Amino acid sequence: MFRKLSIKSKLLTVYIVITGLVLGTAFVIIMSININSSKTNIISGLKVVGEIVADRCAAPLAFSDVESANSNLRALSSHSSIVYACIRTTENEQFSEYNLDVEEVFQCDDYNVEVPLKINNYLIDIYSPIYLEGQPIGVLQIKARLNELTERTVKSIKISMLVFVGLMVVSVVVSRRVMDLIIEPITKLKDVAQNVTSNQDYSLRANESSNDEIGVLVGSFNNMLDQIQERDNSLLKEKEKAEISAESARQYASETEKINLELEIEIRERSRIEDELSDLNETLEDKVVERTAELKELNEKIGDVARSAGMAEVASGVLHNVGNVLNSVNVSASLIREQVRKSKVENLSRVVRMLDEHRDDVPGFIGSDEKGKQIPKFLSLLSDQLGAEKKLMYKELDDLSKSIDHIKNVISMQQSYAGSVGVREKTSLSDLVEDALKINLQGMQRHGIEVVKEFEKIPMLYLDKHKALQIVINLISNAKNAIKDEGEKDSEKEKIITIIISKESEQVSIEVKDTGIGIEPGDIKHLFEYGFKKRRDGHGYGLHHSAIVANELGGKITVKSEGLGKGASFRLIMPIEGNVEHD
Amino acid sequence: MSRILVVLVLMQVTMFAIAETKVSKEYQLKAAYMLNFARFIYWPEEAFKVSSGMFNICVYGESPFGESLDKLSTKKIKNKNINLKYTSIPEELNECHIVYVSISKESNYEEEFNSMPRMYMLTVSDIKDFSAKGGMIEFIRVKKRIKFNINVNKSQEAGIKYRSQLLEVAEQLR
Repeated sequence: MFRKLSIKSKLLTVYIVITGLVLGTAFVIIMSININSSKTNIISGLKVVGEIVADRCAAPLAFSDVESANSNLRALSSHSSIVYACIRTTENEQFSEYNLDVEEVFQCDDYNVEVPLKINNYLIDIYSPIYLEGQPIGVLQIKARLNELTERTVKSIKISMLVFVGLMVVSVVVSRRVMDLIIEPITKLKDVAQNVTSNQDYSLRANESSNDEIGVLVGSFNNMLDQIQERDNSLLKEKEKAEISAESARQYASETEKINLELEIEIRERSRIEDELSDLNETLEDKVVERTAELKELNEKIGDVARSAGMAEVASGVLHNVGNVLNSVNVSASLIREQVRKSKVENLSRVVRMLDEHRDDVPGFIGSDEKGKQIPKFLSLLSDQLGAEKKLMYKELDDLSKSIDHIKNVISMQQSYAGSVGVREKTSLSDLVEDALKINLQGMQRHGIEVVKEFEKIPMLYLDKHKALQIVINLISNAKNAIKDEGEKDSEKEKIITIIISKESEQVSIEVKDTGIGIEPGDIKHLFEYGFKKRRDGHGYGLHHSAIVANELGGKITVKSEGLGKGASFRLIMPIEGNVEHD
Repeated sequence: MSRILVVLVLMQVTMFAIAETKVSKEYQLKAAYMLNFARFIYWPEEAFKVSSGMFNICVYGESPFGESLDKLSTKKIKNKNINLKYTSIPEELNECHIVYVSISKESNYEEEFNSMPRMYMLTVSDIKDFSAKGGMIEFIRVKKRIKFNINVNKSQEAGIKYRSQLLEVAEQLR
């Protein structure tokens, strides 16, 4: 309903409602204050009158002068609202009474100085004590009607309503005028807008009269119309242009058709060439496959070379070791020979010869001959010497025997590994490490390297033993070389290789840690590359081959070093899964 | 005959008794009025110098009040205790604030009071024309009611000022 009204009616409605509310509220507040204060005024006026009359009644009451008292009460008739008055003594005797109301007869209330007033509907009772020298001798009761209050209230409501209506009328008239001033430009603008839309005439303009928001709106509207008109014009021009260009487009179209035909022929030609190219491509792919296979083969060959190099390393380790042991064998053999050469056994044969010469009288020879007397002493001495020789020889022979055993062991071990290439068998990692150490034992001892073993107890694994050994030998040999190289620089430095066998959740690792020369940080990523070597006498595929072998075992090798001179740590990591023994 | 005599005697006695009570009621009222007079008078402090702070009410001559005054003497006037004095010797009235002049002194009160004028002494009496003959307040009877006349001039000479309310209630003012 409200939405359908015009702006003017809306504004007027809102204005009337708000003004009415404000004025109404103000009137109600003022009225209630007014009524309240009127009541207070009337009551206090009655109280004052009561006090004055009570004071004037003191003497009449003191001297029982009823006439005087009555005339005093009569004086109250000047007060229009008072309808009744009476005096009671302290003994509750009615002393005087005056009734002004003709319609109603009132009774004097009992003596009471506690309550100063009572309000009952439209009647109010005011009790004023009569004092003589500060002592109450009676009480004056005045009864008044509150008609006056009602009259006053009604009167003021009437006036208020008149003022309210008057103010509303004035404010509506004034506000209509003011609204006309405000709304007129909007209405005009609306008319112009309607004309523009219905006639499509963009040359119409609204009158701009003020500088306020409506003025700005009208200005903007006119600007908008300017722009629309301009666009309209330019659209017309464009339309003309478009028609011309459409014509030429049609011409172009026929030409294009021709060109298209030519193009189609060309495309066909091209697709033929593409087919040919694709054939060529296929051959190329075949060639790539071929080359890849060749490369793979080559790679395998390199792997084989590396592997045989690894085996060669094992073999060279073995030979080196055997050579070293043979050296000990040689030393033991020369010692024994020397011992035999120096043996006092010949002295014994001299004694035997001497005894043989005196075969007939041996006891006499020993007992009387000077030389014979020396024989027992000599024999005892000889026996001591021979005992010592025997001991020495035993020892050397023992060593010899041990060395030969060692050689036997090493060779049989090498044979056992050599025979097991490509075969997975039950392997104890600690035994494997011990074997690898044995092969490198002589070298270690020669360079005074201490070996620390930290072996965790781990289950037997199914492994290609030989491959694993190759890796471990390579790692230990590298560690040894690193320590040797560092020792050439700093002979004071401790020489320790620590070998740690450990097990983590899914994998086992053999870590070979040395206190050697260390690795430059930049070199670490090249360590496993084919042909990378740092040592003069290295061949450059030891670690490369180890990495390949580790990969074949399903594991990997990791390396850690804090830099040159800080040692290095290599770790062969193998998965437990698939390698562990299953019963 | 004798029976009638007896009845007459009895009637006599009863009448006497009634008269007796009437007298005492009248004087009870008058006694109360005397105290009220004092309450409607402006008493300066000076008035109580001679009486050492007491309010003296004196009855000169034969007292008609019986015990009515004695009953009221427990009250206070101007916050001062009441002291009663019954006397027939004029010299003893010096410290009195209110003097009731008994009818028994009707013959010679004028000379006695004129010869010894005293400040702040209110004279009250039932004597006829008392207010005209040098007295201040004179009890009279109007339509069976007890009223009083006041000689304002005479009172003023003795320094006694009445409150207007009292004067309004008075029957006659001189």
